[in-house]
Amino acid sequence: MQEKFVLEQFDGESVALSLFSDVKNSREIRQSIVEGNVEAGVLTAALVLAPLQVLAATVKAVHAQKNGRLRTRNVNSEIVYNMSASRSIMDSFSKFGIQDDDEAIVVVTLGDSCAQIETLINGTAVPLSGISEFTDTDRIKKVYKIKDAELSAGSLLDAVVSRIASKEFVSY
Amino acid sequence: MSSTLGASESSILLKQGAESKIHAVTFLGLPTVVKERFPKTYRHPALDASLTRERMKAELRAIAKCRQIGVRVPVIYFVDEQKSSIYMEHIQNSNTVRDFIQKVQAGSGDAQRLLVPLMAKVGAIIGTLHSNNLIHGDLTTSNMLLLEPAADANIILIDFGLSYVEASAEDKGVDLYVLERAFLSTHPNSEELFAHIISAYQEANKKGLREVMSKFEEVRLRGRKRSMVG
Repeated sequence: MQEKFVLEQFDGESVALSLFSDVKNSREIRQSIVEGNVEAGVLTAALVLAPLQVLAATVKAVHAQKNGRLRTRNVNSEIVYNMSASRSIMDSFSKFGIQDDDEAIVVVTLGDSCAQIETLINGTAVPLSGISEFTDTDRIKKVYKIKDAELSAGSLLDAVVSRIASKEFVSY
Repeated sequence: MSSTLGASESSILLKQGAESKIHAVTFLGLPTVVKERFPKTYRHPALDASLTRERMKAELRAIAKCRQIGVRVPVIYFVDEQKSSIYMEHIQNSNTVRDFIQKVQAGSGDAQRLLVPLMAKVGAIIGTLHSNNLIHGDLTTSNMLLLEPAADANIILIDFGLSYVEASAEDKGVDLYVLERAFLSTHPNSEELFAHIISAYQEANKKGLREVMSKFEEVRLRGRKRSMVG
């Protein structure tokens, strides 16, 4: 049920996004991530608006890795960090990373490391196209600090992607 | 499903300026322009790197601020700090306001009636920038894109390479003066149109307006004197 994208810019490296609902073992998944046993970025689905948002965060992470400029432990944690407009790593993780009580999550895997995480998840794979059912737009506006005036100049996704792309340079 | 993302191999040079090159590419599957600031070989490399970074940062901040106050700007997709490149939305189905005005003025059609509301929109946008203390720095009708259909007067501001935040009436006056000079040389005999920009501006930027307008007059005179002396 994963959707695959090819990062042509980075030697054809591919990234796969998959969405899971009714996840029963988020706490266990989070523990495995903390222990370094998960080769994937795992996001709370409520703060995911569209694939483009996750891809913008992923491109930054892969680029940072290739240039030896990761700010977090590895490229997967970097994806979670990049989802946030904040430069605080702790803050980014506590908002965008998987939480113990999450029932819907988005899994981002680079290259061919997909299979292994999926066996760990006790939940239902659903098509990524159904993401909006799990998105909490009010929380997105709050977390990214997006006011109504800004939404007269473009979509919520425009506002979010712009923040992700320029997070090192702009404070909100 | 699999789609190809990232910048495509083929890129088209759109513009080569003194500070930067602008290419059209596809990025994350979307039409994108890349603005790359290239190194200046006459500057000390360390100074050049920090100046370039500061300018890129100022540009990104101005774009972000515009969006926050409701002024349409391109979406930022990616920033490559090592290459001093900003990847942003390539606005489709648009003309520059410059081309639109020229096309309308060259014809004798019905489109003339679109110009006054369009100028009102331009003035309102600049007034919004200034009331938020944002100076564009390079206001020209080429740096304003008009989306189709033109009747909607949907304008997107571009090129914030010279933008900065400043509250002073002097800087706002100069910003208006730069626009006036550019406007009247690009669109000769269009003083009346320009007056519509100014009156809409006055509606949108009431705070400290008197000082801004008197600085605008002052800079105008200063400019005229300079050109007479040579």
